[in-house]
Formats: sequence, C-alpha cells, structure tokens
Amino acid sequence: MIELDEVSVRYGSHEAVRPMNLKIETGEFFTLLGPSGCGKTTILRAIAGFVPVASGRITIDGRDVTEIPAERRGVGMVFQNYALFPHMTVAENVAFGLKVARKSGKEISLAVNAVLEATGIERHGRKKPAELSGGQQQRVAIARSLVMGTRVLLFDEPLSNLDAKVREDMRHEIKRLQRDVGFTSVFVTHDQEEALSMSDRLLVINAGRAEQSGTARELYHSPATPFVCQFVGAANEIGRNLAQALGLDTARRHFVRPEHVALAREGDPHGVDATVADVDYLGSMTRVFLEALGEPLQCQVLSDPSVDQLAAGMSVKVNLSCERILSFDGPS
Amino acid sequence: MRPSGISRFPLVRSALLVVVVWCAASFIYAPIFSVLRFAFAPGGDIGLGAIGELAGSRRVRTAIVNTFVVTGLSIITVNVIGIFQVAVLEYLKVGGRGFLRFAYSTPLIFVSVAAATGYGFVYGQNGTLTKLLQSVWPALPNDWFTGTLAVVFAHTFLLTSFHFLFLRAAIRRVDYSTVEAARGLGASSMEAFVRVVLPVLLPTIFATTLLVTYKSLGSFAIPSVLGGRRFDMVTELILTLNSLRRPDMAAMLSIGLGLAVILCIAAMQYVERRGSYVGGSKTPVPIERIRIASPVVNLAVHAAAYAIAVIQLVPIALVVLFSFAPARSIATEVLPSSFTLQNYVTVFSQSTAFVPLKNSLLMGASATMAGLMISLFVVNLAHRHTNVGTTSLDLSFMAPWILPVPFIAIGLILTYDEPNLLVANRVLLGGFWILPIGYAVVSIPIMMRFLRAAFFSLDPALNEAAQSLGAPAFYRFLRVTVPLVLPVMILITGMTLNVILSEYSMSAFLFNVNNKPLSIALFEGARSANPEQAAINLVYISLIMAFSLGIITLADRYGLGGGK
Repeated sequence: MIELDEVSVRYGSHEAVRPMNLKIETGEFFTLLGPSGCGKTTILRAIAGFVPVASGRITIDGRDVTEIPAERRGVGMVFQNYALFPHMTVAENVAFGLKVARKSGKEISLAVNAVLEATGIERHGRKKPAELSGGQQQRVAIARSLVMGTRVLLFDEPLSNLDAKVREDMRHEIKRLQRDVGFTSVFVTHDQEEALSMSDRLLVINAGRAEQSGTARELYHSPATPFVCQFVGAANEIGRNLAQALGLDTARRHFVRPEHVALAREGDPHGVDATVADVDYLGSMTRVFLEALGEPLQCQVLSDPSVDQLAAGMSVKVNLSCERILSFDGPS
Repeated sequence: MRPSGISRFPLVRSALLVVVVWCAASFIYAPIFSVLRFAFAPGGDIGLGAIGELAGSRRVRTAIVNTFVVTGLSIITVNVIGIFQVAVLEYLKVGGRGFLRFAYSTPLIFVSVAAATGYGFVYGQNGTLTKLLQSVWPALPNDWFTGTLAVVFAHTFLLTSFHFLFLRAAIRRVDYSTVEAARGLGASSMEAFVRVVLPVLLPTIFATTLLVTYKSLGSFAIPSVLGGRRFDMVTELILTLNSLRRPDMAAMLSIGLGLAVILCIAAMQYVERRGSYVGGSKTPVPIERIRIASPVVNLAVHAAAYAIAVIQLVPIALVVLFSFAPARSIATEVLPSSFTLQNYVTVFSQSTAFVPLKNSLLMGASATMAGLMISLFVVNLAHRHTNVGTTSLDLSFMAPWILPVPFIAIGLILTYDEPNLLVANRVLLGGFWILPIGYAVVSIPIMMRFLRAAFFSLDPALNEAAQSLGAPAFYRFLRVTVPLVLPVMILITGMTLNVILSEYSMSAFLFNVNNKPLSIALFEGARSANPEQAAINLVYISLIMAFSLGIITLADRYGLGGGK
C-alpha cells in the first residue's frame, strides 16, 4: 500500500502540492487526474523520489521512504517519453537494473527473456530503441521496470505520445499486465476518458489540492465539487433564468450532463423553449447546442432521422430531468 | 527525498575537487593576478606609469593603429567575400557547386601559422606566384606581398570559415516562401536577396563580424609571417615587450587587448540574446537556389566565384604539390617537375625534423586530456548541483574565454618565472610543461561550452529512469551519461588537438628549447632561406591539413553536439 500523509511539495515559494492525504491499495490501478499544471506529475515524482517533499510522510508497504533516494525505493517508473537508453539495445535496457543489482548473467538472461515475452517484444531484443514504434518502446519501458520484480509502477502520462489506435491497444495491454502481474499502478493523465476506462479508483487534483477520490462511477455521478463535475465528463452549468424556470434554488450552483437534457416532443407542456444554435453529428450520437431562456445549453442524443433534421435557428423544446441535476453550495 | 540526502560526496570526488580548485587557482587566478600586479604595481607601488610609457612609444602607437586598420579592413573584406560565398553556395544557381563548396571550406583546415606559411610560400619573396608575376612584370619587388596588404589579404581569405559555418546554416533556415512573396510583388532575385534574405541574416552576419573582429584584433601568426620586419600588430608587440624585459608594458598592453576582446564578446552576447528573426510560418519552405536571369550578371558571378575559389585553393594545392617535390625545385620551379617522398621520410626519420611534431603531439595530447577531464568534472558538477560554489568553479574555467591568449601567456610567464609555492616552489618557465598548461587553459572554455551543450541536451528522464532502476550516481554517470556524451567528447578531443597542432600565439610566448612545437618550427622555417627547411615546412603543413580534414569529416559525419 502507498500512503501519503500530509505530503506537500514546494518549488521555491510556490506550493505545487498542498498538504495531501492519500491511500493506494496494493494491486490497485489508481489514477491521478487533473488539468495541466495541477500538480499530478509532482505527486508521482514525489512518490518515485525525484522531488523532495516539503512536509509529510510517504510510506510504501509500511516503510517510510520519504528520505530514501529514488534508486533505493524499489519503485518503477514509466516516463512520458519512455526514457529508454538510446545507446543500449532493448535487451540491454531491460537488463540494466538487473546488472546494477549484480545478478548473474544466466539469471539476467532468463529474466529478460521472460519479461520480453510477457510484454510481447521478444523479437526486438537486439534492436535499438530508435528502431521501435512508439507502442513497442512503451512495452520496453514497462518491461524494464517489471523485470526488477517491482510491486509499484508509476506511469507519467505514458500514452500521450501514441496515436489513437495504439493508445487504445496500450490501455488494454497495461491493464492486462497489471492484472496478470498484480503490481500496484499509479497512473497520471489529463485525459478523462483514459482515466475513467482504466482506473479502479481516481483522484481528481486541482491547483495542487485533492478535490475528490473514488471510483469512476462515483466521480461521474456524485461529484463532490463543481470542479470535479465539470472536469469529469461534460456538464452544463444551469444559468439563473433557467434555474428559476425549473424552480431551482438560485443561491446554489446547478449542473446537468448533456445526456440528461432531452429534446421534448412537440406540444410537451413541461418543455422549456429553446433555439438550436448548432448541431455536431458524432456518428451514433449527436450533440445539439441550444439557447434556452438566453442561456447556452448542450444536449447529447442518439442520432436518428428526427435529430438529423435539426438545423441552426430551429425552435425546439427541451426537458431537464430534475433528479439528474447536480447541485452544489455557492451562488451561480 | 532531499537532494542533500542523495548526494553523498565520496572521498575520490572530494580529492578531484581539490585538484580542480588548485588548477583554477594556480593557472587561472594566479596568472590574472600577476598581469594586474605587473601592469598597475610593477615595483609594489600602484601607478599607471606603463600607460604613459606605452602612449609615448611610437612603435606601440603604430602597432595599435595597424591593429585597428587591419581589423577594420578585414571586417569589410571578409564580409564581402563571405556573404558572396554563401550566396553562391546557397542562394544562386552557380555551376560546379561541389567544387566551390570544397574550395570555400578550405579555411577550416588551412589555419593559423600553417596558413600564414602557406601564403608566404606562394606570395612571399621566393613564392611561386611572385616568380610568375615577375616573369610578366620584372619590376615587381620581391617583397611586394607584405605589410597591411598581405595581412588583410590573408585575413580576407582565411577568416571566411565563420561565414561558411554559421551564415550558411542561417540562410538554410530562411523561409523561401518569403523570397517567393517578394518576387511575386515584383522584386528581382537580387533585390529579394538584399531586401528579404539579408535582413533576416543580419544577426548572424553581425555575430560573424564580431568573430572576425575578435580574430583580427588578436591576429599573431599572419602578421608575424606575412607582415614583414617593420610591421607590428599588438599581439606581436606584447611578445616583443616581454622579451625586452618590460613585463609591465607587456601586461598593460595585454590588458588593453583584453578589454577590446571583452567588448567584442559582450557585443556578441547581446546579439545572441536578441536572437534571430523567426518566421511565423508553421510550414517554412526550404531555401531554393535561384537562376540569375541576366547573362552578364550570371557571367560576372561565375567569374568572381571561381576567382575566389582559385585564390583559396592555389596556396593549398602548391603546398601539397611541393611537399612531394625535391627540395631544390622549391626555390627554382613554378610547378614541380618531379616528385618524391623524401621530404616525408626526412620528417619522420630525422630527429631534428621530427621533434617539433612529436612535441606538439605530446603536448597537445596531454593538454587535451587534462582539459577534457577538468571540463567533464566541472560541467557534470555544475549540471548536477547548482550553487555558488559550482557556479564559481564553472565561471573560473570559462574566464580564459574572455581573455586574449597573450594575457594568459604573459600571466603564466610572470607567475612561474621564479619559484612559486603553488607548484611546490618550482620554476615552470623554461620547462616542458608550461606550454601544455597554457594550451589546456585556453582550450577548456570551448570544451566546456560543447560539453555543457551536450549535458543540457540529455533527457533528464534517462538519469531518473536509471535511478529508479536502482543505479547509484557514479554508475549512472558511467553507464548512462558518459556513453551519451561520448561522441561530443571524442570530437572535441580531436578538434582541440587539431587547434593545438598549429597553435601559434601561446607557443610563441611559452616555447623553449625543451618543448619547441610544430608551429614555432613552421615559423622559423618560413623565415629560413634553406630549401630543405622549406620542404620540411610543406610536409608539416600538409600533415596538419590532413589531420584537420580527418577531424572535420568526423565532426560533419557525427554532428557535433548531437549527444546521440
């Protein structure tokens, strides 16, 4: 288990991470999610030992590692740009840590072959990193850490340099490896789709502060703060006019997901009048940009022939299911 | 984790640090202090008497005027030729581009005293071209190629290497669509060059101009060999004053030269900070060569381009040709009528001829190795730990970059011409090691610049990756950092050795009977009327050029500073 107890990180006078508590269970796939510059990579690097903490304590499996140098923490790291040693072959990259640990040649050879096979790159052992595709380099980076028998693997936005198809494949590959090997993963990303699809639990970070942790479903359906509501999935903030029309408390902030805004049937007496501002066809779904009571509103509906007829300037009615509205303290 | 927790300073590193600090104190700070002491307090009392004596000397005034005249003229002529060469190679469609590129690149291998001796061999009193011209115009005096004319002429065709390296790189970055836009708006190809391309290149032209200024102000080998007996420039005069036992005047003059050089470097850094013009285009179009529409202009450009190539190639071709000719033909023939390897055999078999080469190789190798070790240690330390101590150490070894060679040389002479506690109460002047020490001191800044660039281009994640895999600091340095900067280390080793082989300024101040280097042997040979000596000189120059060519080819092939 990884535990952060009131950990903060400072860069000069700037507090990059405010005092934070966090528990990551053994074998868990945990994601740090947040916008660029929020401090998620700093937290990861503090766990790895590359960034000194200003206060607090980091423990891994009960061992206080706060003052222990990175090379003695037993934590693997997969970097955004993979950080493969360009002057070494794939096999030499993977064997690097074992050589540092002074393992025997036979032991190294067996371990390297096993991990190259497990990560599906056994054919590329003699190649230099520059000869590999992005996805293959990613596998080498993972293999290099796994071969050390590390139980904790930290991923710093490892999929951000891959194209869409390879990224999708690598998501499944990382999850498969994590399931098979059983290591604890701490994954950093700003891509919410990636985070939601891969993680057992997530922590949303904003401006160096932990906003909310929980499962993907908890964060999506029961966000604790307006920031989490807007950052995890799309959300319409309901303006004052619309809130009054819906009978909502205007002293609070209200949000509704686009998929919870429905286009009403003609003549629906409960519908709110709206005008179509724009239509985005997304294949199976269509996103409709509306203006209701002078306020912008997005709705996302299944594409069908009636939706296909919508065009900018058309008048429609919309229904907002009140039980789906997410409300927070504080004025709108 | 806190950095202090990681950085355990082992005993070996502490010992190395002590050695490096001692080097800085003994061979940088002590010489600087000596120069200042002799310039401003020669007898113990502070005063500016040396300035008055320098100002009162007609020879000094003439040397200063000569230096400024040569520098001013060189700036103009080198820029005219250099910019023209770059336009011919990269902007205009001129036939035989490969040949011209080869010819224009020769100042990279034909440098310093070797080049000066080569020019003397062609244009000097018994030079091939002089004989050829005298056959047409018998009234031409033997010493027609001397003084300001000779020095500026040699500078003009030997200092274009900066344009060849930097201006060519800059013009390749010009977005060709801007030229097309100018031509679409009615500008001719020449107008587009002058109004669109040149303004974009101005920062680079200014930077190369400053390099030319820097080189011309401190020019030593060329005026010594080609200037004639009555022609002095400042650097030569510093040496003369020192040999006349006026160290105070030599020190003061070297301070004056140092101030001029510092001004140049400050201006260069200002230009560097201003940066260059960057086009806003997301997809810049590479520069294309333009066909010259006017047949007359086209002919004139071709004629000028080939004339420059001939001027640059002829001295080299004649040096190489005559290095294979019997010694007697050197003084008598315009072109050799027979060939032999005897001159090369003499250089490698006769101890008097081989000793300078051996000395230069030995001193060059030891200075390069020492310089490289110090640079590697200091750069690595400063890269890993940024604090007042490492920054001071870094700046200490960079100091010789802003000090002219005569300043450092005079400093070393004044510091070590008597027993000195810094070197166990020994006298270094007159010994073998004083010159390699001087070579190392002036080589370290350039080594550090390249190494620093290589270190900064390293992806810090590589070091962190090795660290997360359990590798301790020294293991990471040996297995990750060194292999990645090794190409740069090899190349700067070769380049430094190459520079030292023909280094003249430091050599002229510090050489003695125990360590006479190749450059001094070349200089002495250039003044000798003995054809055997001339033949040996030609072999020396050919060997230096061959070595330079090898290093440049290597640098070109592996890309210096790539850190690959």
